[in-house]
Amino acid sequence: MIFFTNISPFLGVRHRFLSVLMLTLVFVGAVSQTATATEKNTNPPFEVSGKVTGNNGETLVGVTVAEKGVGNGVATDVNGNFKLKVSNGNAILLVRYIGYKTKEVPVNNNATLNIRLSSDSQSLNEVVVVAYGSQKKGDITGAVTTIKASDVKDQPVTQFTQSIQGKTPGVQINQTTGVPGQGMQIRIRGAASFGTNSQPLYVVDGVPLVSDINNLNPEEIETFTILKDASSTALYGSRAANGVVIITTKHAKVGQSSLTFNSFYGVQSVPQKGRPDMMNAEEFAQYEQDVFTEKIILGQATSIPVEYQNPSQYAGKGTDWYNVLLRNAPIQSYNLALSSGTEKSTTSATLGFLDQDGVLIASNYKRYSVRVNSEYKFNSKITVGLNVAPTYEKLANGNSDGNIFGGGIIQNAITSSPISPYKNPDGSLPLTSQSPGLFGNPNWYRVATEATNNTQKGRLLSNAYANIEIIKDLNFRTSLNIDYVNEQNQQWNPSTTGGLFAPPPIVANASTYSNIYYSWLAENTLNYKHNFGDHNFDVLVGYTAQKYHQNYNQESGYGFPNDNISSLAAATQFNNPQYDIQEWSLASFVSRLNYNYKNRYLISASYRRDGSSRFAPNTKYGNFPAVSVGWNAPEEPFMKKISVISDLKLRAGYGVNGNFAIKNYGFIPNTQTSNYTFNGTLTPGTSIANIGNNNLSWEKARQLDIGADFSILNGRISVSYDYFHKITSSLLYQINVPQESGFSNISDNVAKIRFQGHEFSINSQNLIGDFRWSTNFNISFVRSKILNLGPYGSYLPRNTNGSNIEMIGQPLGMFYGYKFIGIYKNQQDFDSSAKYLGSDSPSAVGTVKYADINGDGVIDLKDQTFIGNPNPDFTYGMTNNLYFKNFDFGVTVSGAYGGDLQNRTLEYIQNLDGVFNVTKDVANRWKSPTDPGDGVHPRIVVGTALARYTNSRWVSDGSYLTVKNVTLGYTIPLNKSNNYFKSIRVYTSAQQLFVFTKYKGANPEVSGLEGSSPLNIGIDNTSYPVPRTISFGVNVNLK
Amino acid sequence: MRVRILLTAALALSLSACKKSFIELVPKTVVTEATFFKTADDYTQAVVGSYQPLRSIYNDGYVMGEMRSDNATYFASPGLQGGQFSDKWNISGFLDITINMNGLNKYANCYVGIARTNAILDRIDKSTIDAAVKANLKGQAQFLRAFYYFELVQYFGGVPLHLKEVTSVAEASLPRSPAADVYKQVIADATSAASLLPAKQTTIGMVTQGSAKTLLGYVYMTLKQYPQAETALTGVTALGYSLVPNYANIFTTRNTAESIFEVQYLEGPQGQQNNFAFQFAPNISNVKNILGPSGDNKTTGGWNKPTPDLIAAYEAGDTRKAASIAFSYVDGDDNTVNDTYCKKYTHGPYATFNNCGDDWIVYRYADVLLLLSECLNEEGKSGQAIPYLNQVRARAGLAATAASNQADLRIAIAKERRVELAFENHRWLDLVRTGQAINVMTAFGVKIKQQEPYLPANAYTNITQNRLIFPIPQSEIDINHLLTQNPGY
Repeated sequence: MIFFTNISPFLGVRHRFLSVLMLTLVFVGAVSQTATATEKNTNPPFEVSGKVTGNNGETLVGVTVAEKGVGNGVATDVNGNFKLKVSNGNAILLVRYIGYKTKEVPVNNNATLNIRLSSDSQSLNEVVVVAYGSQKKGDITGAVTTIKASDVKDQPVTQFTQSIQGKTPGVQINQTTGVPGQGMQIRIRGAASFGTNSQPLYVVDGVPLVSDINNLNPEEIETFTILKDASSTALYGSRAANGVVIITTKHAKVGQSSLTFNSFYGVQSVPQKGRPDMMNAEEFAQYEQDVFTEKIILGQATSIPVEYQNPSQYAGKGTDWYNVLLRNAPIQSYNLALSSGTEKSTTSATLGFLDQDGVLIASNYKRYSVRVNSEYKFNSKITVGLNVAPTYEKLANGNSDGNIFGGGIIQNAITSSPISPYKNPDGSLPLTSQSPGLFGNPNWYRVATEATNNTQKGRLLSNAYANIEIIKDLNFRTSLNIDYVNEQNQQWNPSTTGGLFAPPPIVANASTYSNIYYSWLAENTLNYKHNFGDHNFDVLVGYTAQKYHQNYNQESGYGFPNDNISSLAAATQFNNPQYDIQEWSLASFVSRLNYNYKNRYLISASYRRDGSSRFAPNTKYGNFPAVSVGWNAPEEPFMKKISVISDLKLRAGYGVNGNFAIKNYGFIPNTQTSNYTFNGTLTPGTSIANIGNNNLSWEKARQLDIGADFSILNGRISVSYDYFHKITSSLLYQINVPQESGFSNISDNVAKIRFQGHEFSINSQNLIGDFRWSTNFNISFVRSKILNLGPYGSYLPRNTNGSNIEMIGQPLGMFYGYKFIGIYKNQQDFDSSAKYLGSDSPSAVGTVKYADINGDGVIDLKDQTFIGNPNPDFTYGMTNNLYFKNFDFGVTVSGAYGGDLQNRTLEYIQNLDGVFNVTKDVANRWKSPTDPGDGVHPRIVVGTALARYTNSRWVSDGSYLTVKNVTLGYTIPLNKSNNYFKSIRVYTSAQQLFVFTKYKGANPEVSGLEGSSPLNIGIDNTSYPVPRTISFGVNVNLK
Repeated sequence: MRVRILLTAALALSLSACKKSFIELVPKTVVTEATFFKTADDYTQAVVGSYQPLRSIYNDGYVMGEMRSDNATYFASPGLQGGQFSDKWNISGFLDITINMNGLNKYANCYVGIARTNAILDRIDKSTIDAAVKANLKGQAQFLRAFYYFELVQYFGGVPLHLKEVTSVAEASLPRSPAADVYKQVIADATSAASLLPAKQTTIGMVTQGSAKTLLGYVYMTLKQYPQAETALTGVTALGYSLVPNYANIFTTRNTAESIFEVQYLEGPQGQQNNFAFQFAPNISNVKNILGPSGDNKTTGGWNKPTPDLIAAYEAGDTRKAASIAFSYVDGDDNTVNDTYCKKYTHGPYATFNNCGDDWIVYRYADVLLLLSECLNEEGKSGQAIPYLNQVRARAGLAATAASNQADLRIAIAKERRVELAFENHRWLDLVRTGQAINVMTAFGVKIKQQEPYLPANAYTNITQNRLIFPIPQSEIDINHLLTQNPGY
């Protein structure tokens, strides 16, 4: 009993909770003694066969046909045919198919039965997974979208998020980089947060994950349910502000057994379009000759280096660094899935292997995965289940993103000298890439191939649960869940590598880190679902506890005897190791009431209370209530006559949820090591590390959603619309405090942002019958506005050469800088225009001319202004599927319209100091008043820094439409008497087939997020290119 | 059975989670403030931590202390652009604006040190640690707080006077106190420190009574309170310090008999290093022949370059010239280049690029002798002043001074301080203290721009009274709305 004396925060549920727990314990003890499995194994004397079709005569594949009460089911083949042995000629067949009404068909001694299923009116009875349970689709009052994995299968992708791009309104999914196994950014309804995460919460089979979602094998997934509005997410409380993605994995169905093998092999290549158009060797030598000519005039050089004296000698020769680093790379995937279900127990197992070579040389990603989901029914009252999913991943040399100072190898390499070979004529590899006047660089080919950065990640995702029907309609469920990750990384930089400005030989160095983290989650819920006549109730109460633990160790060293041994063990000098332990815990109470009257009037109310270790004593607990209502018009008597309308539902919901993604212990003042040296002896010192904050709390999001679902013609055309209005307040941010305090920042709740938007989707079965064609189109409009920035006043402090600004009254992440208006063409133009006078790069004739926004005749920081908006006007997606006889064909496109992109790579690849290789168009620069060039590119060597400050010349429209996937499949007709195959389908699938855009960079989807901070949206720093993948695959269904 | 185990485990876990302590977690790898400040060892560690900001303050202290003056400039560096370079160029040429990372570094790190000493001084009186230990630690904390505030008030004028630990955002912002109030606090802290600190510390390198008295001497000299300065500085002469016979050795050995207070560094991976030798070496593509390790020094080096004016100030036969300035070097291609750089802190070869352990001397005995000489001369006791000056000249291999009257002696002492203490962050503050900054720097500016044509045309054209102190960092003005900027910025 003492356990309960401390749950006063959850006062009010205490007694109910207690009694249920006691009752359960007793009950479980009793039934587990009596439950014994008895399976009858009868010899079936009667065989029935036939075909199952839909109400429009369409062939239905995979329909479950089973004998009622026995469970010896089969699935229909690709032609809709089935053959089943039943116990006798009077058996009853149970015919089940998702989206259709289940039908019972008496055999009546017929050896052949043709069965027609009628579609379940717009699949309103389809069960949708929601927070802590499931609901019939028709009863849902929130903004929820479900995607079946079977609708997005066969794409040659490594991450499931790639396969659902463009599928859902209000969900912007961008592939920001092509690094194998990485780079997907999801933002639901524009979710954004300043200092913390804006990714949604992922819940896999009920477990809110703490590990990366990317490594989940897409083949293990059954459905994705995306909860967008607050009323549907509020049960996840302090983690739900960015939306929730619920994933259910494949479980076997009663009466079905199958063994399938799916595989594809593809080739990835980087499209020509979007590659940086760098000068070739001859052009570069000419450019450098010009640079040195200018330097001689200025007294900065005495002669033109011999390498640049005769540019024509390089005609047709030279190094294209982009090509040197990239390749066509294979990707292959193999999955074997076994599924078997009886009335008593079900088991589903999926084995997967994926091997992806990166298009950047020497990068590779491998994933080995296993998932076994089993469920066992003790009797009609008790079900227990166990899901176990170990995964092992290996990523080699994937870390190539980033700008020139951040170690981004691609950006570094393209700015290197094209007259410097990566390979000598004799096949040996030069150590450096150097040309006169350029920064000393390593040979990037050697950096890519000789430096290693390998990560291995093992993960175990597992849950065990028991469900007990205590009395009729009252279910108790308890579960224990583990999410465990063990990540190991080794890096090795031999003396032959190096970086920008740091040509080899460097001091060889190695490092290693180990990052082990896990969370356990225990959940107990009690669910009562009962219909009192026309009054339908569904009540849930529960208690959950989750704890996270992380152990991080990092070691690094140098002083290796030579380059042959890369192990840290061979180092003779070591840097200070790092050790860290992080923990958080969350204890929560959840409750929900769903009520409807005759399925006409729906109401849902939920409440969660979270207590979190991350927050301060004054704010330890947060309350997250939500309520929503709905009206199902067709259930009204007066609507029954209007049979053309099969669904018309109006919904509205309002709720509060939060974002707890702030660092652990943030409110506690800590001490830190502050060592000093006395007389050559290191002496331990300590100081207070931060200011405490006893009011540190959640980010709060209050969201209103109003929506409507409408469908006609028995569901052939259905339309959904949602409007949302969301205010995120108390945004968590490290706010700067005056350094006179001895500290520079403190974690605090500061800003307020408003998001609002419209989402629209339409599904249409354009053609039905033998030739079927369906279309899904969705479009979303999201607007953000910063309402308040707390102590910062009108805008967040920013680097004066930063790319974005967060300013009150403006959307998130506006581009801010100088407005480029041309070049000072001649002395007269120069004299009559405003000038920049800073000592770093004073304006001169031929340098860039920026607009004098405040009109004071001088260009300075006060003339920075808005130069672009990275937020798209709208995003959209469309999927078309066609089926004809044995052929199937699908096309998915997705796009964004109206968002700007800032290509900051231009800062380097159009640098005019002569220290980098530059783009071809720099040849058309200003050379003299009589040869002013294209009016866009300024002069070299003199006053060049100004051109490198954030300015509108780097900003361009980032609208795009990408053909994400095209798949053509053919199901091979099989002789039914064959002993091995139920079905064989072959297909070809192309991912990222075309990108239609006016944007000149490689990937317009960088418009999502650079890193995960919305403070830097729309910035292109030449990330790892996203390849086009052409693949061939096969689905084999074995008997 | 499986069901029962599962249920029991799940229930046990969730029930244990019912306890409030389940969501009250504290860091496992760091000590929280709540459990610190208990033992003498805790307080000792806190005092050690209060020295730590000195390393950062001195790592670029030469920019405002020497490059602002006529002692030092910088190497030409075509092609380099960006704040890390232009901030230093701007300070050197009196072109600095309110956004400047060197100014911010000094400002912020002085306050880091002040906050750490405040945390100690708020608690130590009430603590139950041993009285002798307490007095010593309190004395060190008071010295450091006085030192940091003295640094601030000299470079920035009146500043916010935080004397208590800041524990909330609300307490973080204060208005600027008048410079006189800051000086008053500095004198109070330094006076107390001088009375609490021993003449010698068991841990060599910790501040002593001599350090506190030297600081007091400097403060009084700056305030032109000569009798008090004389008392403080004369007090230092009674503490057993002596001049190291060979000038060059002052900088090759730590904590010599001449050293009164020095910022201590340690070469190696412990994070206690500086990179003075690399910052002051020429900005060439490979410094292996100068410093040991191979490495491109273009973006690190080229600072604190001796000016022709300084070189000319050394008298013939002065042994300090060769100990302070290099006149040639061997570049990465093994060619000898005839150019100068500051070598006072270069004692390689070093094992690792950008990693050196040479200490930076803040106060030393020769400095006290010259300051005392200056003090006595200003008091009209020129006769008493001369022997102190000659003591320093004799060590440098020079004859006794020819100056005899107060005005000549004033010039002689100033010149002696310039060459004796060159590159030790005294020159700019000496010029300001003695009222010579505007005259000297204006004349120097004209000359140096002829000698070094790469300097910008507008450098040294804005040398005014306002430029004798530096701007309050803009980022501070932006957040603390109670602050006002210094005039002229």
